[in-house]
Amino acid sequence: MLCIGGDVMEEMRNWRQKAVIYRKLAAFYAGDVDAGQDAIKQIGQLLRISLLVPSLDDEGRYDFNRLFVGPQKLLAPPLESYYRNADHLPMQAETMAVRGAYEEAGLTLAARNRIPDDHAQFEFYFLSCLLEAISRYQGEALAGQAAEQYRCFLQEHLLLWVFMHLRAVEKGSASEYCRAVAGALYQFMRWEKEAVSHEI
Amino acid sequence: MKFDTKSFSRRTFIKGSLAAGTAWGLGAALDLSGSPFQTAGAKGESKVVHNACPRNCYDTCSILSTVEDGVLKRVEGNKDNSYTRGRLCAKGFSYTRSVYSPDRIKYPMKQSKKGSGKWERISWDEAFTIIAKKILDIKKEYGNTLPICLDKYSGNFNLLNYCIEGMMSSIGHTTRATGTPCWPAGIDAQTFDFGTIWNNDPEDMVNSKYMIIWGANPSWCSVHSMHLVMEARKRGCKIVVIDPILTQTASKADWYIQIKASTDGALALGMARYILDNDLVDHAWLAAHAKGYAEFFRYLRENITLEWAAEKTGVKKEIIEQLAKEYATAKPASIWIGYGMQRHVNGGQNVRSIDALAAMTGNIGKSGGGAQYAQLQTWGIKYNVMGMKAPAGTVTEKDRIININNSAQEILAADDPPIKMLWIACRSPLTQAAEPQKLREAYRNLDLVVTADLFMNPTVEMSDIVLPVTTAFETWGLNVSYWHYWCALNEPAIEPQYEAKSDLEIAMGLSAKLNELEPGSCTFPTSGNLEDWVAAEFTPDFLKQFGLNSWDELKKGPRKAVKGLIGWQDGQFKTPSGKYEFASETAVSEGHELLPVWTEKMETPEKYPLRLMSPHWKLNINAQFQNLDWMMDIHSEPEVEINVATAEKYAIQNGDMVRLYNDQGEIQLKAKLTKLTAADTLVVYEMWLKDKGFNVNNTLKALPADMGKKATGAPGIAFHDNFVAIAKV
Repeated sequence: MLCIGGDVMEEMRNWRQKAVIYRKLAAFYAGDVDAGQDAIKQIGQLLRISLLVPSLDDEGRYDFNRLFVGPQKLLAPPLESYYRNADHLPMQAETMAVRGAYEEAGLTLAARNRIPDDHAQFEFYFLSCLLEAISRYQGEALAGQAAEQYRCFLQEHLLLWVFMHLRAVEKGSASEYCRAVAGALYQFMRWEKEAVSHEI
Repeated sequence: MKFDTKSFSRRTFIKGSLAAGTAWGLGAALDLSGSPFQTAGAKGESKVVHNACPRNCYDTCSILSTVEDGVLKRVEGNKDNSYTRGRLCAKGFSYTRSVYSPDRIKYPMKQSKKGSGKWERISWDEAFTIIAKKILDIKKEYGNTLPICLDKYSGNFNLLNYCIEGMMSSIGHTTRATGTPCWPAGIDAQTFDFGTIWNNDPEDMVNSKYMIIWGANPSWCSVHSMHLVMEARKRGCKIVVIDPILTQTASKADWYIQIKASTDGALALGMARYILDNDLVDHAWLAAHAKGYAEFFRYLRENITLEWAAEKTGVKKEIIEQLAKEYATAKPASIWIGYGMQRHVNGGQNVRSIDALAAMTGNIGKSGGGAQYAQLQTWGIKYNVMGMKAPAGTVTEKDRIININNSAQEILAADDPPIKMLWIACRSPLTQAAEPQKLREAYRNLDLVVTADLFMNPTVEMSDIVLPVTTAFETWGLNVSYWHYWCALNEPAIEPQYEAKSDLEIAMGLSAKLNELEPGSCTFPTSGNLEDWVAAEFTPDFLKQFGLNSWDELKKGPRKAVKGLIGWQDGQFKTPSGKYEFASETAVSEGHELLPVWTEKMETPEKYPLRLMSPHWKLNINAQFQNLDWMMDIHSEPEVEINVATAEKYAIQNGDMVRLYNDQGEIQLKAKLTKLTAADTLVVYEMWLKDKGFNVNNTLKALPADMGKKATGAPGIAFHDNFVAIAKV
C-alpha cells in the first residue's frame, strides 16, 4: 500500500489531495503560473507544514518563462529527457519510455509529437489521473493497476529527474515566487519518495 | 482496505495487459475532457519522407527523413540526388537535434522592453492582433504603410518563404531592405560580362583538366562539391587554390597560391597579359562570341606587366607565368570564383578580370570550363506566394528601398515617413550586419520589431515580439540550388513543434486578422492548404526543365534539370550585344569602368594596420547551427588566427586574450597562432556563439563593395576590407 501506516480514510484523503496537487502542478507547468500558489497551499496542507505562498507579480511570470518556456535557452527545462540523457535531448528513448507508460494505461497525448511526452505538465497530470483512478475505483482491480503504475512511474520516471530539475530552478530562478513553488515541490517529492520506498 | 501489491508486480500487469491485447484502460475509466490525454490509438507508422535542406548553401541537400511513430529518428542524404550522393554535412546531421532542442522558440512571445529579457507568452491571436493593430495605426497616421520595413534574407530558402515578401506587398507599399550581403558584386560583374550568372552544372567539374578554386573554400562551404573536385583530380585535372588563407580546400590542392587579399584582379590581369603575349588566346571564340576584346588587349599592353602584378599580389612573376600558361593550355579549364573573394571595395572589378581570363581562353560554354559563380536558371517558379497586389485605396506607387548592407544608418535616417515597424525573417541582422551597435540603436527607436525565428539570438533579444517558426521537417516546401541543378520537394515529416507555424501560415494568419479588423486591408489569402500552395508554383516551363509531367512526381524524389546544364553553351549571352562583353556600356551606365581594369584595393589605414577577414566557418551558416549544443561542444570560443610572425611582433602567445579594435568598436578573443594566413591578415571566422556576446562585426563599418546595385538593388559590402589594431588584454 502506498502509505506509511494510517487508516483507509486517511489514505483516500491523501490520494485525492495528491491528485489535486499533481493537477495544480500540471497546470503550473502548462503555463498557468497562478496555479503555483494553489499547489503550494495544497502541499502545505498535505504535509502539514507551513509554506510561504508569495504573491505572483510580473517578475515572477518573467522568471517562469526564463526557467521553463523561453524564448531564450531554458534555465531549467521541465523535461525528464533533458536530465536523463547525455545530449539533453527530448524525443529519444527516455521520452518514448514515458510515452510507453502512458500507453500501458491506455492513454496518449492530444499533443502527441508536438510537445514531448515527458514534459512535466504531462507527467504530473498522468499521476493525477492514476490517483483519481485509485480513489474512484477503490477495491476494484483497476485501482490496483493504477496504484502499481503510480508507484512505478514515480520510481522509474519522475523521481529520477525532478530533483535535478529543482536544483536548476534554485540556481536559475530570480523570483521568490518560482523558488517558493520549487521549494514546495521539493518537499512534496521527498515525501513521495519516502512513501514509495515503503511497500507493505 | 489495504491492497496487496506484492503479488501484483509490474511485470504481471504488463503481461496481463499484453495478453488482453489492450492497455489496462484509464482512458475508459476516467473523464478525459479538458485533459491533455485521450484514449490511446494505434501507433504511427514508420515512414521515410523527402525533405530538403533550405539553408543558404551551395549544396541544398536532398534529405531522407526516417520517422517512427511521429518522431524524427534519422536524417540522411538522398542517393537519388547525384550531387547529394547520400550524404549530408555535419550541420545537416544535426537536424535531429535542432528540431527537438528544448531551446527552440515554442510560442509567440512579447517582450516588455527590447533587450530586457522579460518575456511573456501570448497566443497567436494576441500576436496577430498586436501586429495588425500596429499596421493599421501606422496606415492611419501616415496615410500609407511605408513606415513598415521588411528585413529578410536567406536563412530559409524554401521557395514558399517568398510569401514573406508577398505578405508585405499585400498590405500596401512598404520599405524593403534590398540587396544582399552575400554575393552582389560578383553578380553584377557577371551581369556586365555575360548578361547574368550561369555556372555549369557542378557535376560537370569532373570533366575539367585544370581547375582554379579562387577565393572559395568548398571543403567547408560546399562539401559535396569536394567529391567532384577530387574526382576531376583523379581523372588528371590539376587543382589550384588561390586564397589569402591556406584553407582546408587549399590543403587538398595540387598547388596553393597565397595572394594578398583584394588583389585577385591584379593576378588575373597579369595572367591575361601573359596569355596575350604568348598568343594563348582563343581568337576564334572571341571573334564569334565576344565584344570589346581589342580594347581590353590594348589596356593590357599599355597598363599591365607581370612585374606589376607580382608586386601587387605578392605572387612571384614565375608563378603567374606558370599559372597562366597551365590555365590557358589545359583544355578545358575552369575557375570557381568564391563569394568571399568579391567582398572587397574592388570585388566586382576583380571578378570581371577573372571572367576575362575564361573568355580569352575560350573556356566559356564548354563542358569542364566556365567562370563558375552561381546560377538562378532553376529558380523559374511562378512566385505565386509573392504576387499579391496592394489593397484597394493604396495611395503610394511603389516600395521604398533601403540598402540591406547599410540598414542601421538608413533605418535611422529614414524620413517622410520614418520607419516605425520592422519585420525580420530568415535573417539575424544583429549578428550578421555591419555596425550592429548602430543597428541596436535603430531597433530601440522603432515602435515594433517582430522577428520570426527558430532560436533566441541577438536579433530576437532586441525584438518586441518573436514568432516561432517551423523547421523544414514540419512543413511543405520546394527547394532548388544556386549551384547545382536539382529540384526537391520538401514534405512535412513531423508535426510542428509546440505552436510553431510556417512563415506562410503566419502570413495567412496575419491577413485574416487584418481583414477582421479592417476588411480589405490585406490581399494575402487567409487560408489554404500548404501542399496546394506548393502545387501552385509550378509553371509548364519549370516542369519541362526538370522533365516532369506533373509536380507531384517530385513526391517520388528529387529531379535534375534536363537542359541548360552548361552555362552559355549556345553562345547566346544576355548582354545588350548578345555577346560576352569585355567592354560593357551597361557597366558604364552604372558608374563603373568599361573594361575589366584594375581598381585599387582599400589602402591600409596607418592606425589600423592589420586586415581582419571574417570568412565562413565550417560548423555554421551565419547565425545558424553554431549555437547548437553539439556544435558548441566541438567549438565554443571565438578565436583570432594570427600569423606567428605578427604574434611575435606584438608579443602575443598562443591562447592569450587579445583585443582587436578600430573606430567602429572592439572585440576580445583568444589568439590562435598559425602559419595559414598572411602576416598582415587576421582571420576571425564569422559565427554566432551562444551566450558569448561575441560579434566580429562590432568592428565592421558598412563599407560598400564596388558593385551590386545593378542586379540586386544595392551594392555589396566589403566584409574583408576591415582593418584593426591588436593588443594583448
